[in-house]
Amino acid sequence: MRSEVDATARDASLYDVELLGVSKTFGATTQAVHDLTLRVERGIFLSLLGPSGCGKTTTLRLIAGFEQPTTGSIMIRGRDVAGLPPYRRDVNTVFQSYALFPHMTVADNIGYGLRQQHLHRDEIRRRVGEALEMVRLPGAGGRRPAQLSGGQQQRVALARALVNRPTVLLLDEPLSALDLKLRKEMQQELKALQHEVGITFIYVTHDQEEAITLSNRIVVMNGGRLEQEGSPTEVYDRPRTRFVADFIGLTNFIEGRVREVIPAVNGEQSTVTVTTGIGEICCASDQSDVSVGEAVTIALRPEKVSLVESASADDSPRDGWSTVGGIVTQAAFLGAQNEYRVRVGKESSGGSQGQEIVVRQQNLGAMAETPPNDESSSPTIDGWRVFGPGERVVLAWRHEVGLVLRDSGDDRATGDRVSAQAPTPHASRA
Amino acid sequence: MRASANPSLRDRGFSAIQRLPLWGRSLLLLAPAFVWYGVFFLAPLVNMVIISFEESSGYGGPPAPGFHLDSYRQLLNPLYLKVFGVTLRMALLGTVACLLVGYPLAYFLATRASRHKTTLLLLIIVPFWTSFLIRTYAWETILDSDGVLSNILQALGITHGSLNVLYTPTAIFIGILYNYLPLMIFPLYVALDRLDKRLVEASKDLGAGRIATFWQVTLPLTLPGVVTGCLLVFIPLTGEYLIPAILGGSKNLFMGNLIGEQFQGQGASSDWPFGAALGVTVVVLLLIVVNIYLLAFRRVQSVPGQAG
Repeated sequence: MRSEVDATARDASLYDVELLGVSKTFGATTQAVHDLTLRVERGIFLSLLGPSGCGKTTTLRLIAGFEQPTTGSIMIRGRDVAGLPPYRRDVNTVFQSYALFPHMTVADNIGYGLRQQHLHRDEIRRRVGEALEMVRLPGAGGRRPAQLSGGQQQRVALARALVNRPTVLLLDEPLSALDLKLRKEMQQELKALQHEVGITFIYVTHDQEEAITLSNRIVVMNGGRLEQEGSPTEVYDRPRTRFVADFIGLTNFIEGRVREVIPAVNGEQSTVTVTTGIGEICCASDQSDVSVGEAVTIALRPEKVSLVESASADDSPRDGWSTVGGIVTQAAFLGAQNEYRVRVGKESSGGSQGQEIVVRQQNLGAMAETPPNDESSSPTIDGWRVFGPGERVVLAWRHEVGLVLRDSGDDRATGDRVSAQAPTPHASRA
Repeated sequence: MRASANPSLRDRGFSAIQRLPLWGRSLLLLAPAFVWYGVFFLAPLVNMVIISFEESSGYGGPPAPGFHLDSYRQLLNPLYLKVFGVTLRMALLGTVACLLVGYPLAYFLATRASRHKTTLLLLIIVPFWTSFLIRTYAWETILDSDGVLSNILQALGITHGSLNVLYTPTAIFIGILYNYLPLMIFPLYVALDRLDKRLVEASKDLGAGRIATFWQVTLPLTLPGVVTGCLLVFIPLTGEYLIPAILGGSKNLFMGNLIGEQFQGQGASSDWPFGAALGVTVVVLLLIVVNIYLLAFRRVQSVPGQAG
C-alpha cells in the first residue's frame, strides 16, 4: 500500500497539496486525524466538511504547519514540508476569528507578510493598495481593525493572506461569525475571488450547504477519517456511506436485506432488489459488491420521490420505477417546496412494520382545492397536486434514485471499504 | 405575611436612595473611600508639606511653627543630591533588571509551563508569606563573608578567600531583584496569558519567524503589562528603606534611609522639617518621572503599526 502511495506521489506537478497517510495524535489517546490520504489539485476550491471534532481543522493546521503529523507526510507542490515551521511554508491562513493585529492599521496588517519578505516600501504600498481594491475596501487602509464591521474584518483577513500570493490559501470556517445574509454575500465574493486569483483554496466548514455552493471538490470527514471525496454532485447524489448521506442534505433511510443481485451487463447498471419493511425495493446501482442476504440501507432523497394520487396510479408498476403506497400524516408548506411525511408499510394502511418517508415537492403554484381536471396533464408531474394529511398516496421513484449502502456493523467500516485509499479497515476502534 | 412585609420595607429604603440624583448616589458610594483617603493619606501629606516649611528645633522632635525655606535650601547640598542620584539610578537599574529577568520567566509561565503553571506560580508567591524583613535578613546570612554562599563557594574551590558582597551596592541589587521580581512577573504574566495565541500563529503564518514575531506582535501587545510592572517596581523601589539598611551597611544610603534618619535619629541628628522636605521632593520627583513615562508610552501606543 505504502509503495503504491509513494509512486503516485511523484507525479507532483498536478497537485498543490498532498497528504499521504497522515495521522495526528494528541496526547496518548486522542486521535484527531487517522491515516488520511488526500490530493488537492492545483487551482481548485476544496472543502473539508464534517461535524465538529471530525479532524478537519486539525488537517488544516497540519498543512499550515501549526501541527506536525504523528505519522505520514505532507507535500506542498511536491516538496515534503516535514518539520518546516509555518513561516517557511508557502501557504497562508484565514483564521476563524480573523486574528487581525489590533495594534496595527488595516494597511499594516495587510502589508505584514510583505514586510517579512523585506520588500521595498513602495512595492508594499502598491500591493497593499491592490489588495484593498480586490476586497473592495479602498481607502480603509488607515483604519484600525476594531473600527471595522465583521464583514470588513473578514475582507481584511482575506487580503492579508492573499497579498502574499501563496500556493494555497487555507480558510478555517471564515464565515461562521457572520450573520446569514452577509455570509451568503461573502460566499459569492469568495467564489469570485478564488476564480479571479486562481489560487488553490482549502476551506474548512461544517456547513454542508456552504461546501456544496462553493467547492469544486468536497472531502467529507468523520471521526478523523475521510468518508468520501468527490464533486458536490457526487457527494450529494452518490453518497457512499450512511454518514455522508445523513450529513449532507436530508435523507430517508430504509433498512432491509438483499434478495437478489443482477450484475451489470452491456454498460447498464446492476440491479439490487432489497426486501424491506415497506416492501421490495429495486435499486439500480454502480455498487454491485453486495451479496444476497446482506443487511443494507437504502438512502432516498426526499426531493427525488414523486407523490401520486392513489387512484390515478396504475396497478402494474411502470418499468424502472419503484412504488409504495402510503398515507400522508403531515403536510408542511416550506415556501419553495411542500414537505410531506408519508406513513408507508407492508400493508399500505401502515402497520407496525411501516415507516415514515419524507417527500419534498417543488411548489408549482397548484392549489389543493382545485386539482387539474385535465387528465392529459400527467399526475406524476410533481407539485400539480397538493395533498393533505390522511390522503392515500403512492410514492414513486426511479430505480437509480435509491442508493444501496452497505450496512455491515458500522458506518466507519463501510467507509473504509468503499473509499479507495483507506488501507486499514477496523483499525483502532476502541 | 412577613415575606410580603419585608420587601416593602426594603423598597422604601431603596426608593429613598433612588430619589437622589445620580451624582448624589455616586457620592454616597464613594464616601467610605473619600473618608479613608482623606484621613490616612491626604491629611498626613498636607501635614508633611507644612512641617517641611517649619524651623528645625535643632535637637530633634517637633519643629517650631513658621515659614522657612531652609530645609529646601539644605537639599541642594551635593551630599544629599548624590543620594538622590544613587537612589534614582538604583531604582532604574533594579526596574530594568526585574524586567529583563521577569519577562522571560512570565513568558515561560504563560506559554510553555502548561501543566505546571499553577505550581510554578505558587512557588513564586510562597516566599511572600514570610515577612519582607525576615527574607531580607535571610539574604544577609547568605551573603555574609562567613555565610552560606561564601562557605559553599570556597568548599567547591570556586573562590579563594571569603565572599565580599555584603554591604556593597551588589548586595542591595541582589536584594532588590529578589524582592521586587514578583511585582514585575505578575502583570507581565497576565498580559502574556491574555495575548491571543492566534495572533502569534497569524504572524508566523505570514512569514515572520519567532524573533520577528516577538518584536512585532508579542512585545507590542504586552506593552501595557510591561508599563504596569515597571511602575509597580519603580515607585516603591524609589522609597526603599529596608534593603539598603540591612544589606547596604552604613555607606550605601537610599533616600528612604536619609528620610528615616531625620525622624528616628537621636538629638541633633534628627531634623523633621528636613526629612519632610526630602519626602515632598521624592513625591514630586516621582510624579514627574511617572508622568513622563506614561506620556511616552501613550505616544508609542498611538503610533499606528510598526513603521519600517
